Amino acid sequence: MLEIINVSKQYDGKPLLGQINLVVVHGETLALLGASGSGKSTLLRIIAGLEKPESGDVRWDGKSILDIPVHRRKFGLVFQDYALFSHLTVEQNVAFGLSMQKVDPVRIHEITHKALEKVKMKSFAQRDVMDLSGGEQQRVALARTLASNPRLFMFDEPLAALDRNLRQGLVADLRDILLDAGTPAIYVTHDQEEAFTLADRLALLVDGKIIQTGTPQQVFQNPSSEKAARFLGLSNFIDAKKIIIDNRTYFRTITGDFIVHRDNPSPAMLYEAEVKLCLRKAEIYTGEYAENVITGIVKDSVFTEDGFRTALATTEGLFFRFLLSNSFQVGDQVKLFIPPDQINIFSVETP
Amino acid sequence: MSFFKLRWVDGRRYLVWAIPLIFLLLFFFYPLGVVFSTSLERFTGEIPISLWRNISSTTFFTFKQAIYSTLVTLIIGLPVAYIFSHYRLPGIQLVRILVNLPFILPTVVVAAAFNALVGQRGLLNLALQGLFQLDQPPIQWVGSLTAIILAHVFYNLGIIVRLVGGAWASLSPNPGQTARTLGASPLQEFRLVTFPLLKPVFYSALVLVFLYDFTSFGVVLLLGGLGNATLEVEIYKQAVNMFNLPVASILTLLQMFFTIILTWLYRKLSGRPLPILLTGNEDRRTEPKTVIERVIVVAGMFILFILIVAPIIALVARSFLMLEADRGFRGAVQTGLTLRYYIALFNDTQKSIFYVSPIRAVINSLLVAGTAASISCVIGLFTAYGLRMKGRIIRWLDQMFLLPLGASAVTLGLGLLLAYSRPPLLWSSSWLILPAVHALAALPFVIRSLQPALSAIPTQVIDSAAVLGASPVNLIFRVELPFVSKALMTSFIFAFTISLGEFGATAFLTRPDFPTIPVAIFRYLSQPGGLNYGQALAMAVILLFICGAGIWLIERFRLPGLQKL
Repeated sequence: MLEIINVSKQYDGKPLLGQINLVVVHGETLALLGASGSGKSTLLRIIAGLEKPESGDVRWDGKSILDIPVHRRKFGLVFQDYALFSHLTVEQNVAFGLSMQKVDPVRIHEITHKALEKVKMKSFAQRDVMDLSGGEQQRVALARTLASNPRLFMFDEPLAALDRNLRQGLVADLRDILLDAGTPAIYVTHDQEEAFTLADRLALLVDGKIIQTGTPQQVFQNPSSEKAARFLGLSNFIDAKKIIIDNRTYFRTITGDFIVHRDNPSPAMLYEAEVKLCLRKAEIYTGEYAENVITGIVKDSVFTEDGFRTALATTEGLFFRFLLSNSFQVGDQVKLFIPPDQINIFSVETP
Repeated sequence: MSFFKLRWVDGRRYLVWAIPLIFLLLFFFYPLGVVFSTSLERFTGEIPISLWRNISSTTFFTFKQAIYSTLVTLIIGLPVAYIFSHYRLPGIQLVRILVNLPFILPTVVVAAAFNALVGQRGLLNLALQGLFQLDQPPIQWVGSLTAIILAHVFYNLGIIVRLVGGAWASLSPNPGQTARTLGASPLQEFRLVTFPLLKPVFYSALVLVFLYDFTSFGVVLLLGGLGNATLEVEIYKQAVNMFNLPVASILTLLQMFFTIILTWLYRKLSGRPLPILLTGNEDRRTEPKTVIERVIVVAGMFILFILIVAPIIALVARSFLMLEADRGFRGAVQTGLTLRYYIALFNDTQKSIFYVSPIRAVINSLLVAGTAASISCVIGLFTAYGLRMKGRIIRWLDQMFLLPLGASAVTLGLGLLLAYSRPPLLWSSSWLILPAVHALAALPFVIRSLQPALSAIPTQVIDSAAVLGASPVNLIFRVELPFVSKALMTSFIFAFTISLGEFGATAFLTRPDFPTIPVAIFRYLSQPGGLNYGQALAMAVILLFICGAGIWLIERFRLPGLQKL
């Protein structure tokens, strides 16, 4: 089990990571989701031993490993730029870690070929790595880490340099490999889809702090803050006041009142009088309710595989974006209904 | 009719090549041809055993000193390259200038500087003698292999630091770090990953340093002493001291053979690209943090300082310090600061080894350098214009005009001496042969500076000027030349400093009554007596100052740097 306790790191005098606490248990894949520059690569480098934190501790099975040099930690790290040894062949690259462990050559050959088979690169064993495509190079890099049988896998945006189709193929293979290996892994990425596909657990790293952890479903459905929600790509935030009429709770905004149902209501929803709503989904209005309704003029409508991405403006000057099942002309007036379980409620953040 | 006219107009463009080609033919190909034919004539006759012995021992020594020099340069240069590429240092700009400075210093200045530091009359020896009351100078390096090696390290350290350090700094740290996570110790990381990745650059730097050490002339002649002659020095001695031109030609042939092989090897190695580079403008350098890192950095800087700054300081200091008696004086010496070495340059005393006052040498040098730089720039401009055309012949010509880089100055000097020392072309007795050969030596640098500037002029600019009514002549003088004026200035200054410091060819071709500064320094250093020694150093300081001013000008006006060759 890997424990990261209160780890802080500065870069050029500015705080990069502040008081990071994380745990990765055996057999678990943790995806660390963060924007570029959020310090996620630095955290990996601290765990790998390539950099030292200014404070805090990194422990493996309860013991501090800060004083163990990189090459004795047995943590595998896969870089975005593959970092293959360009002077060696594919097979020699994959065998590198094993020869460092002074494994017997026959065994090395065996393990190397097994690892290459897992990443579907067996027929490339004798090739020069510089002759391979980006996707093939990353498969070799993967096999190289796999073959050395580390106690922990770490991936630093391994697929960011590849195009979409290649990425999807590799993510699926990576998922199988991680499940099969049973080795704990930390997967750093800025891509939600990758994180959702691979992660047992998700940690959001924003501005050098972990702002939320949980399963992908928990995190996506119940972001802990407006910041987390924005980071996950949600929009349509609107200020609201809690009012209670006839024992029913409403959230009053300038464009109308909203009723909200949540299975696990956030503290803000329960205890705060002034909150921020996040309207996640909308349907075309068909009912007769007075609440949870938005009326606006269509400003834009774009086809996507999941529906029509529609932008609309209300008479109050608010601007919303929703995925709708129907297409509209720019300038059409539409009336939308927001289902009560498709609204998140956050505290108002002070900038 | 129009077809022929078209062809003729088209062919006329090639006329710009006439002047550069005639120049190259007269001052490069023909002299080399004469060296060839002279040595071949010799081969048909009897070759005495003693000659072979001389040739083989000279060749052996040439290799020996080059190998030693290269090894010591590597041993000192690699750690410095490591420090440069891994740590952010205060004053790194200054250190960078220091490392690159020797590259532009004339060999005679470097030789004089080392003489001023560790020579018989140098600061160290006189200080040690005074301190311990010794009769003999304790450091007997000048005149030995040690001095040659030291001066070569001084010269070539910059190549290692620039090439290997540059590559190291731009090498992505990720492969090495991956190796670490896979279980490689820091030493294994270097041996199995970093070094193999740097290998192409490392070997090309190695060959380049070896090439420079192998063809070294001035340093060996001035610091090597009597018994230590490289091929270059032996060619000079045979030709100038013994007037044994056929033997000199044979040696030249041998020298050319090795030089061509080394140059070919360098071209082959330096063409290979680095496989893995940093993405974007990442900087892998960090502040030295731990005590060990700081000690390494300070030690490296200290060695660099001792090696590069100490000789230059010694040169300047010694030229202003009276520490020993002049020739013919015995007894107590008034030691202290003095300007007498500089003042003596203006007096044509009886002791003068010149037919003219020494300061004439400075004027001669400036005259030669000005003429050489002008010739080089004019011919360089013609060539750069010519290179704007396309085609296989042009690419071929492009390579041909780089050839003077590969030929050693001594070879050229001998060739010109052989080719133009008898009527009807008795040019070797004219001082104009000096600027011609200096211009030739500077030409590859000048072309490499002018050509990119000229081809960087946007075609739209030229076209719109033409549309606005500029005639072809107007186009050249009103549009194109102003565009390349900065590159032209850089070229001129650079050619000027090359000419000022040129010693190899000049030693062959200069007349006794027309010395240049390097020749004067050489003559003074070979004479006995404290005054002669002091005057040699004073002259070297003047040369150092002029070259420094040239480089300062280029930096000051932000002139475009010279292209890497």
